[in-house]
Amino acid sequence: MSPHDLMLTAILLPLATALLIALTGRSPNIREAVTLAGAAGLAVTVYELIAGFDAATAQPLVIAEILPGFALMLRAEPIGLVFAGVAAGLWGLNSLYSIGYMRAEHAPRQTRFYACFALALSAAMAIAMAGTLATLFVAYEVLTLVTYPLVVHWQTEGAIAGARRYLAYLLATSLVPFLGAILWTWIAAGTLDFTPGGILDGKLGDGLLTVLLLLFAYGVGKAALMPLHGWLPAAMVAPTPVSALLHAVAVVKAGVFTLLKIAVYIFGIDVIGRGVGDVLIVIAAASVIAASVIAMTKDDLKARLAYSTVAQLAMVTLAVAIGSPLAIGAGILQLVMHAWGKITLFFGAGAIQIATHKKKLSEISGIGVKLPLLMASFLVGSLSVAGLPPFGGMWPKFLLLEAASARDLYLLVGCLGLSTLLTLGYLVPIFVTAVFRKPGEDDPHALPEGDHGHGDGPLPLLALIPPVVTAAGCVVLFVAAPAILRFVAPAIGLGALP
Amino acid sequence: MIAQHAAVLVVVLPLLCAPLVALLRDARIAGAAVLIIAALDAALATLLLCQTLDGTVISYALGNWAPPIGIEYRIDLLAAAMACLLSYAATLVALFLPVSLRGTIAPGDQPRLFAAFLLCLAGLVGIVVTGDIFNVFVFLEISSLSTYVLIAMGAGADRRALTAAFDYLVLGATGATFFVIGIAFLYVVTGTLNMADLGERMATAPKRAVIVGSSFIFVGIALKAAMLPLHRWMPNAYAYAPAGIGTFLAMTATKVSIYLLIRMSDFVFDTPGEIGRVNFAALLPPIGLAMLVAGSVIAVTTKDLRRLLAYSSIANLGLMLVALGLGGIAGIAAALVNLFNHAIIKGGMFATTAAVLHRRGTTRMDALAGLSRDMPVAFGFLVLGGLALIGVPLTAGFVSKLLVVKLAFEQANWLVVGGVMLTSLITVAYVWRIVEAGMAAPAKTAPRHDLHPAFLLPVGLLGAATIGLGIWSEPMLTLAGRIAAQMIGGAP
Repeated sequence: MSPHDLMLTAILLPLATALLIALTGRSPNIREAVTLAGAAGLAVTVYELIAGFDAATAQPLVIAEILPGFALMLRAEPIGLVFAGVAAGLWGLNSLYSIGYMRAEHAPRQTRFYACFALALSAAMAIAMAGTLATLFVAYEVLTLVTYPLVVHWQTEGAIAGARRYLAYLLATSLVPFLGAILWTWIAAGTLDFTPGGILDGKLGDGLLTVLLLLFAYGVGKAALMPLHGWLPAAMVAPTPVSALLHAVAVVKAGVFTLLKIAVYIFGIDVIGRGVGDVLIVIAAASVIAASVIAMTKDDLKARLAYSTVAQLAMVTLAVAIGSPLAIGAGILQLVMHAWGKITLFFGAGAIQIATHKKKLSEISGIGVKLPLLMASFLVGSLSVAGLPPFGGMWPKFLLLEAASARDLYLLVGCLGLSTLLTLGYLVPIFVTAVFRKPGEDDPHALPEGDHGHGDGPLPLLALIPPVVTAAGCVVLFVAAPAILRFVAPAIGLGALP
Repeated sequence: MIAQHAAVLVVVLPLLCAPLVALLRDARIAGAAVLIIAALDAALATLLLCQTLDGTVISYALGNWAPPIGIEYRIDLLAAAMACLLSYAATLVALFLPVSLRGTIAPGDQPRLFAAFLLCLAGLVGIVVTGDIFNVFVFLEISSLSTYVLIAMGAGADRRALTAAFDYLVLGATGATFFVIGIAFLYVVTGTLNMADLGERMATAPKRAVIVGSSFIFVGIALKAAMLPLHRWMPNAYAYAPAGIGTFLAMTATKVSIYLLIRMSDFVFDTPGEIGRVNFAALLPPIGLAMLVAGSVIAVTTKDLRRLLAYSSIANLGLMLVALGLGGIAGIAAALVNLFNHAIIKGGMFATTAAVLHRRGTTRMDALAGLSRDMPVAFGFLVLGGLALIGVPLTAGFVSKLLVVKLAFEQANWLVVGGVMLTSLITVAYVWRIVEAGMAAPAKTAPRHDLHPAFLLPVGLLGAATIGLGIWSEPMLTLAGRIAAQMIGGAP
């Protein structure tokens, strides 16, 4: 297939999968088989796209023109392909995990769940392939809306309230600052095409560009830059597989990916690097530290992971704001590494919940004995997110430090060091409590073993394999990171690798 | 022959058929007759659109009395497009009107309601095709009188329809009076009622009389267009009229007033800078913004879905006025795109609401509980319409809003930019009230039937158009652009 067909397939295949899921909803086994087949097909399609990518021959594909100049256009480029690869690669694993989790929880409305999941992947692919800011905006909005049913899945009062918050934050930011910034760009530059080197240089003064960059940074609410991060913890009312894929991979990564795209192809890396991004550096660094500190105070495992996500996403925003090829490279790697690390952690938190019906740090003392493999994966995920070798998460942190010191931002170097310590500080205690504490220790409310109302279910194999695989992936990515950097290097003007 | 006389047939057909339909005994035959007549009317309007698409203006002298002495039917692209909108709306509504009336109006009374419906259609089409300003008044009265009757007929389902009809009767009659007084002033100083002729003679007419006359006309139209603060009649009229009628009114009634505003802006209103004329265009953005904000805010607080949609319509009318006020070809084009798109979006939502009303007997917000489970198709279309109202991309609403905001951006009119974008957020709030109401835990007694099949075609077509025009907006933009160019270029 030609690259155009592959791009269309990547978007239409999940869409077709969603339709088939809706049609086969009556028999769960066929429905799940459809999901897995769709995920496998998408993974192959994206692999073909990446393997066959050639910057010299990549041609845009115009689908429709909503308004003159506001066109829906697709164009493959390295950063987008990396994002597509991450999302497509993790969909299959996540679907396996979903099957284990949703069946163990006897969840209602599973057909809607799998269908919306497939739709979300379709939107994520459209974001990844977007050739204009207009296309990206359209797909971004679609992603918000199709994930709403996933967040509200349990349809309890709490879930409706959480989902309302999710939607309010994401729609409000996208309809006012994001759309406003897009219009401003459109009128100032006369185009919305993603162009290497940017389209805004010389069209606006540096002061206005700073304002525009801030509008984008806050307009892209999915990047969860503080203080507009409130939707992310609120969205944790969703079933854990949703939190895992959407809030470690598709939704939040779509946010920071959008920022990366805007930095590289709308502003131009050099433009941001010459001072336009300086205000954003301060905000993003503060966001990293503040979110990490808040994460330490959270007892609920998913809330802790949510704030950890806020901190780690701010790291990508930081990379965008520093504005050097090296920093952008670090941002792209962070997008990949954090996705694999954080999805491991979410898988782990969900598996703990299935196996023990416990959701809080203070309740999980001693469960590690029963779940040794799971907790080992959890530790790997934690260390990778924190940025320790030999796990993939080390690379972005390392490159970010390099980029910061190359611009003589020594305070920022200190911030990054502190953030790694804080990350260890809020993630490792989960492992330590689960493995080294005795049940009941420090927990006055602990019940004697076997006294739970519903009893401890065994952990389904389908809920155990995915976290082990993603944890292994964190190790593999440690080796594969230079290859990813080489892949994106031409697009971001990165010369020799450090 | 038909092609030659289409200009007049498009009005005469429903007008003459109305009394015949009233005489029919069987409600089912009458319902089918209305559908056929409306569809024929739509075909005639389409024919007119085809004839005027290249920019020709059809001038039809009634009774062969040459204008400006006789009455002239003057059909340019704007008139033809409006006639299409009106007759298509009537056809779609006629598809489900008999079903939606079942149980609320006795079969024996239904033929009379159908007759009033046809009269209303004839009146509205008459307003847009005529080139004679007094004739506009006559048709305005025909459509208004029949509308009063139609609204009052909702009393079978809800007695509040009577007060709604009375409110509209008082305010509508006031509006019509203002309008005719305005015409009288202009007639006295120009000696003509033909609009094209009027435009030519206005330049030399005594200025004070022109100011007074055009002010009267403006207020009259403002009442009919439900401009703030003259909007009081509108929410109740939409909410308590029989369900199908509410849909028809939402798609047409206020749109025709916007049409009049555009039509008369050529020669009665809007000549900024010219001494002796009043610059009504300058009034429109502030009024429009106020409607946008007030309509949206009140919509958040309403307790009934149909009232919510009606207040949302006030907000959307505000958006059209804002676009008109921005002026120029682009402004008129943006207003027209908004007008057509909103008719489609809101028509779809009202039709879906009629389907819900037909199943549940009420449209109170708290009675929508369980809609997502019991009537998933209807719920889906309501959500689709709601998303379009918010202005989510890939829906027609996005195109409408983006046109206005971009235009205001280019003119550096930050008040309009900010106002339109921020009210989108209020729109999110009231649209999500519908979504959450539909998702609430259902009452055990709620029936589990989805849309009645009669609603499927109109709701489906309007829904498809909502998405279709959101992706392939080019035909609509071209049409609106051509109309606007003709209006500005063809100004006398």
